[in-house]
Parts: sequence; structure tokens; C-alpha cells
Amino acid sequence: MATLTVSDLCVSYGSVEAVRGLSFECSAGEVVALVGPNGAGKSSALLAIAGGNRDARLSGRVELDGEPLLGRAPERISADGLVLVPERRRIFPALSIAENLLLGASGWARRSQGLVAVEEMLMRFPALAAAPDRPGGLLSGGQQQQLAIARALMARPRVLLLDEPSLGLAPEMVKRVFALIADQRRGGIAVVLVEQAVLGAVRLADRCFAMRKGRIDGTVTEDRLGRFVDAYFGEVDAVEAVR
Amino acid sequence: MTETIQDVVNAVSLGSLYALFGCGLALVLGTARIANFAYGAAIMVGAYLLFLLADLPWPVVVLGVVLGVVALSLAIDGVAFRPLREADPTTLLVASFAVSVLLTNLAIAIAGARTKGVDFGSSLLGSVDVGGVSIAKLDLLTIALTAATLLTLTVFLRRTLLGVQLRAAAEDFTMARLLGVNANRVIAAAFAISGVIAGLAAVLLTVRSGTLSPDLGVQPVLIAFIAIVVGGMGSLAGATAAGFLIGCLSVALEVLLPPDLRPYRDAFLFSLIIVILLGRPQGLFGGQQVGARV
Amino acid sequence: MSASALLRAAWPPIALGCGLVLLTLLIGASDTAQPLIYVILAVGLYVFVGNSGLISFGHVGFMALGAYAGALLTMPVTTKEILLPDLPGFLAGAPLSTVPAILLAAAFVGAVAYLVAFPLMRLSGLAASIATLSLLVIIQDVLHNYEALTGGAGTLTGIPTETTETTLLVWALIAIAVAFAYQRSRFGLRLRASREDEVASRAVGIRVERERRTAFTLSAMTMAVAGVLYAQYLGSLTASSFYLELTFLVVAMLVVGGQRSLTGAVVGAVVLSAFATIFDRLEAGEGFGPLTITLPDGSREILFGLFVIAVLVWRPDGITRGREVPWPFSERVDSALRSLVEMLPTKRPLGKKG
Repeated sequence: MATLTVSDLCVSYGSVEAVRGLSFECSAGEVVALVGPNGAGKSSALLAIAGGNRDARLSGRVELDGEPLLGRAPERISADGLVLVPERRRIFPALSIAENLLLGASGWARRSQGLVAVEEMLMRFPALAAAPDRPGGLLSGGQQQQLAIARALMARPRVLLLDEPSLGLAPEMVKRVFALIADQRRGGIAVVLVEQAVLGAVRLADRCFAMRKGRIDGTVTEDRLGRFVDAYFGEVDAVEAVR
Repeated sequence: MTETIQDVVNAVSLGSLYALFGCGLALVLGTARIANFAYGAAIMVGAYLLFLLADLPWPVVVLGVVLGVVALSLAIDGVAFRPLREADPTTLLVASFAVSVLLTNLAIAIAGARTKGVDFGSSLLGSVDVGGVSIAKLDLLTIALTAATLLTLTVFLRRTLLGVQLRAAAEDFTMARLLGVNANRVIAAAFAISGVIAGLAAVLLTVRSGTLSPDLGVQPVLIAFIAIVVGGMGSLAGATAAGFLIGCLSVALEVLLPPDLRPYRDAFLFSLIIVILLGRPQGLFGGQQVGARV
Repeated sequence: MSASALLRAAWPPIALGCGLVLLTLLIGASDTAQPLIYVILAVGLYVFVGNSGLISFGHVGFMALGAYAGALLTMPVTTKEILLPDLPGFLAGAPLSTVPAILLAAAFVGAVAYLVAFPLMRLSGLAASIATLSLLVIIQDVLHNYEALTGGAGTLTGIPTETTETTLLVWALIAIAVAFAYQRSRFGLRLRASREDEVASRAVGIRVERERRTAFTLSAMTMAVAGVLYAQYLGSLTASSFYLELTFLVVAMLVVGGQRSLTGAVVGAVVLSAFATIFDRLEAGEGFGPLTITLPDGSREILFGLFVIAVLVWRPDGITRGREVPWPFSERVDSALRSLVEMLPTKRPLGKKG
């Protein structure tokens, strides 16, 4: 049973504190969503958990089943089963779809095993299987997002972090992506989702937290959603909205 | 007409050698983000190794030189660059400069500062008759060896897992690590391949010139640096092509410049390059920024 | 500004200046000449490197240009006729004295540097550094081959050796003062901002290329001054001495001392000069103090190479950690001094018990 525990995570870049004491838990088979405005520190938090920001100062605790992760090399963290689908996808533009997928298996596979796994993954993503040799840079936004998720799945994660997967996608595509995420939950993966598409995130997630100025402000549920949105767009006092 | 063909072969041959220079350096720059000034010193060490081994049968010599330079490159990475993994590009450049000075002066301390003659591959110094034109065997060898090396490298980069990882690391190093690519292994691989190329370059250079000196690595690394900047800092193919272009330009200048200006050939070459950069600061094939991404 | 506030603001150059004067007096004339030239070189390179965060391999080339310009401007007419018969008319004339020669050489080199800076500073940081290397090569090539002006690859002799250690000291102090004034000026501060965060400083409206060009030029002019002084100190010039070895030496001084502060440049220059002198003696077989071993040629560079790598790995900010000379009179010492003064016996009016 994979459980990700984050306690009092702080991330700063120089004198700028992006994350100031973030705490939450996410277990296998559940989706935890973090929503909030830009600059709330959501992406910095995910990147720090996955080990991706090499020039930030980190403090606090991040544990996967009790194993400390904070500050470890990203390749070790991903080998332990925590994989990030980053903001803006960051697929490798000059590499083909198949090569992007193969990369995802870097932590555990030799080439032959990796190629087999690529074939299997392509079967689950027919949109990608159509042209596996196409360079990643030429794909549409929706295809890139699917590729990014598929690539992360190649790493056989127990915990999957997704940073704004709906960014720049048409509503149909967003639905499909969220359905994919729900599939992962069904498969027993712990999912942490950062999103600006609040409604979709709230409906999908088992628990949804509002993040503002580097820490969690409160929980968000569908019925309270209206007041939440108003608060963050300045209509109502923020504290009132999430009480 | 014959002369033109010979000049062209000359140009392609020098271009090939310079393409090797650019390729080896760009490989390490792309993956490890290090502008490795010590690359020239590695070539120099290869040449001195060749001098030491010169009396042995040639396959042993070439293998010995290549393995020696690979070992040196890996050692340089391990000792000087690994502790500086998170440092900025300027620091790494200065560190590589220090390593280069270190190695050059070690060579002076051990072998003396004066130029030595090397007798190796003298059978290659003759010419061959191709369709009525006399072509230097060395030129043919250089072209063939470079082509073979670049082909092998391309196959490696496309068909092996490590090769794909190297290409990914060159595009987005952090993302590659987030997916499980081992940073140190990939960088070591880049240094090793760079070492193979440097070793081969050392062999070709030494056969060409027949001499050795502690500063023989300076010109190759300078050319490699320029090739990288002209080719575009993010592009391996760009640096290789730019190296080739610089070699051809160099021969062209040699042929076309009036005799009293010929000693300034290098100055012209470098000035031309500054002009190219005026028009295209990102390099001929450039696009990617090496350095801070916003 | 009150006198003490002014003193405090200008403390680093004043302290460094006093330190240099002291050292010169203590060590004695003949051994301080080369270190003082190195100080000017280090301070000169620092003006560009320390403020912009970019390394330049080309500035020793500007020193060379200054040296040869200074030589041509100060050599007596008859010497020039013999050694450099093909000199163009305007240079074959009567020699200037030291100060005008320095100023003219610096102006000339400054103009060249400013022109060259236009294409170079458009390049990204790493590419610019690489391009400065090609600058060094071009200058070296020209010096080697333009025999009419430089005497070619050989040694150009006959330069009047009018430079005393006092002159060198004075110019070193001037260089330190100019460097400090620059780094505290608007231009210097803007450039330093771009060093910290290039993207943010552009966003704030700082013209990064323009500020880099200014520093590049000022730095080149300082190196040119050092070049003229060097030429007049040695009395002869060889083109190949202005190439990679000297470049590395000056870079090493900045790295070891701390490339982000003026104090670092001076400290680095003094420290490495000291080592250089020791090693020169050891390499020549003269022994030094209790050490009587003879080191092979190149040992000095090997040591410096190791130094630089060690510093970069363990203390990347160098000896001074990028800080300037601290104001030594801390608040506690200040107030302690004041209370001491108050405790001194003063005249008491009669009739009051003490």
C-alpha cells in the first residue's frame, strides 16, 4: 500500500518562499487534488517532492511508506515509484513517441524489456499508436498530454503526480485525461493532482485542498465550490469561503 | 582542374578532422552542460601516448591511445566535474581551463616543453592515384575514419537505450532524471564517447603533423569551441557541421588569400566567424538555449 | 556626507590601498614590481568578470595591445628606425613620456574593445566567453604576423624602462579606485543585477548588453594600462607571453581571491604573486628560504591548476567569499572606545564630592 506523506514542506528560491509549510497525505487508490491560483506554490511543491528543483532550498518531510524522499536524486525517487508528469508536459521534442516512452522505462528496463513495454503502452493509447515515430514536438497538445502520462506510466509508478494536465486542452480532451487519471486510481496508484480546472478536479478527487501562498488554506467540496471560486476571484472573504 | 580536386579533397579532409573536434566537445556540452576546455589537453595526452606506443603494431597503438584518452576523460569527469555538478556554466568552464593547464604543464614537467618528432603511420604519407588525380592517402583515411565514427555515433544514439538517454538528457536533463535516467552514468557515457573521438583525433593529428608538443591541444579545442558557437550551442549535428564548415573555410582561405595575407589566415577565419555571429547570435543551427531556462 | 561616513563608504579601496602601500614598503622594491602589475591585471579583469558574471579569455589580448602601443609611443626615434623600419609615419615620430603614452594607449585599446564588444556581448554568456577566446587568438595572430608594428614573433627590445615601483603603486591605487567607483556607480550596480538574475533585470529595463559593453571596455582599458607599465618595466616584449598562460594566471587570481569582490581580486593577485615568486625561484634552482629542492618547469602552473580546482569545489567564492574588506570598527568597539573616553578624569567643580 503506497502512502505519500508530506509534512511541513517548505521550498524557497533564493529569498522567495514558494511553499511555506505544506502538509497532506495521499494513499494508494485515491486522488488528492490541490487547487488554487497562480503563484500558490503548487508546481514548486510537486517538483520538490519529485526531486526536480536542484537549485531550491527545501525543508520539511516527504515520505513514501515511511522512506524519506526529500532532497534525494530524482532518478532514485522515480525508481522508488514516485513519478511526476510536469507542468507543460516537458516531452522530448526531438525524440519520437516511442523513444519518449522508452525513456520512461529508464529506471527499471533494459532495452529489450523497454521495447516490449512500449508496445504494450501503445496499445493502451491508440492516439499515440497511430504514428509512434513522430517526433514529440509535432504532436498536438492533447497528444502530448497523453504521451506525458503514458511516459510516466512506463516508469511503473506507485504514486503519480500530475501538474495541471488540463492546461491548454480542449474540454473533450480534458475529460479524456481525467478519465485516464480515474483509471490509475482504479489500478491502485496514489494520485496527486494539481489543477486550475477546479470543477473537474473537485469532482474527480477524493479529497481536494485549496492552496494559497504556499500552504493549504482549507478543503474544497463541490457544493462549496461557488464560494471558493468567488473567494479566489475576490468576491468573498477567503477564510469565510472555505470554513 | 587537378589542383582544384586536390584542394577540395584537402578541404573535406580538414573539414572532417574539425568536424570530429566539434562533435566530441558538443557531446559533453549538450549532456553535461560543460564547455570542456580540457578536451584539447586530452587530445594532447593521446598524442603523447601515441609517441610512447609508436613502435607497436598499429592496431595496438590506436587502441591504446583511444583507451588511454577515454580513461583520462572519465577521470577528469570524476575528479573535477562531478563535485561541480550543480555549478553554473562559467564555473565549469574555468574548472576545465584549470584542468587543461594542469595537464599541459604535467606534460611539460614530464616530457619537456619542446616539440618532438613522431614517426608513426609514415606509410600513410604517400598519395594514391584516383582517376588521374593524386590524392593524399592521409586525406582519404581522415575522411573515411570520420565518416565511420559519425555513422557509428549516430547508430549508437538512435538504437541503444543509453543513446536515447543521452539525447533526452541533452534536451531536458532534469526531465530525463525525473524519469529515472541516471545522471552520472549518462554524463560518464558522454565523456567516454568524447574520449574515443579525442583519441582518434589525436591519432589523425599526429600522423598529419609528425610532431608533438604540449600545446598541440590548443588549436583543436579552440576550433571545437568556435564550431559549437557557430553551429548553435544546443545542437550536436550543428557543431559537427560547423566544424566541417570551418575546416573547409580554412583551406579555402589558404588557397584564395593573397600570399602576404596568408599568415593572417586564422585571424581572418575568426573574424569571419564573428561576422556570422553578428548576423545569427544563436548560431547557424541553434535554437536551444544552454543555460537558464525560464 | 560626514567625514566618517565617507570613510566608511570608501573603506574597501582605502584599506586595500593602504595594505598595498604597506606591503610595498615592507617587501622592498624589486620584488613588488611584478605583484603590482598583477594587481592591476586582476583588478582590470575583475571589472568585467566580477560585475557581469561572465568570464573573458580575451582581456590579456588587450593588455598586449596596450603594451605594444605603449612601446611604440615611448620608444626613442632611433631605436624605432633600427628595429621597426616599416613603421607607419605617425608612429615613427618622437616618443611621448609615460603618462601621455598610457592615456593614449588606453584610449586606443578602449576604442578597439568597445567596437569588438558590440558583436560579442550579443551572444549568450557561455558563447560570449568562448568568443573572447577567439579574440585572444586573433590578437595573438596579428601580433605575431604584423611585423612592421611589432617585430613579429621575436622579442621587441629597446623600450625605455622608466617605470619605478612608485609609479606602479600609484597606478595600482588608481585602478583600485576606478574599479570601486565603477562597481558602486549606477552602471556597475545595474550590471551586477544582471549577474544575479538576467531575466529579472531585463524585465526591469536594464539594457544588459550595454552594461556589459561598458564593463568590457573599462576592463580592457585597465588591462592596457597594465600592459604599458609591463612593457616599460621589462623593457622588451614577446607576443607569446600574452597568451593562455598569462590568461590562466589572471583568471586564477580572481578565482582564488574571490571573483565577486574587488578585495578578492587584490587578495588573489597578492597571494598568487607570492606563490609565483617562490616557485620561480624553486624552478630556477635557487631555493627559497629553507627549501632547496629544484622543481621542474611548469610546477607553478600545476599548483595553480590544482588550487583553482580545489577552490572551485570547496570554496567557490574564493578566499574573500565575494565580500569586500569589512569595516573593522564594529559597533561594540565604537561604543567601548566612547565609554573609555568618558571614563577619563575631567575637571570637577570645587565643592562637589568625586
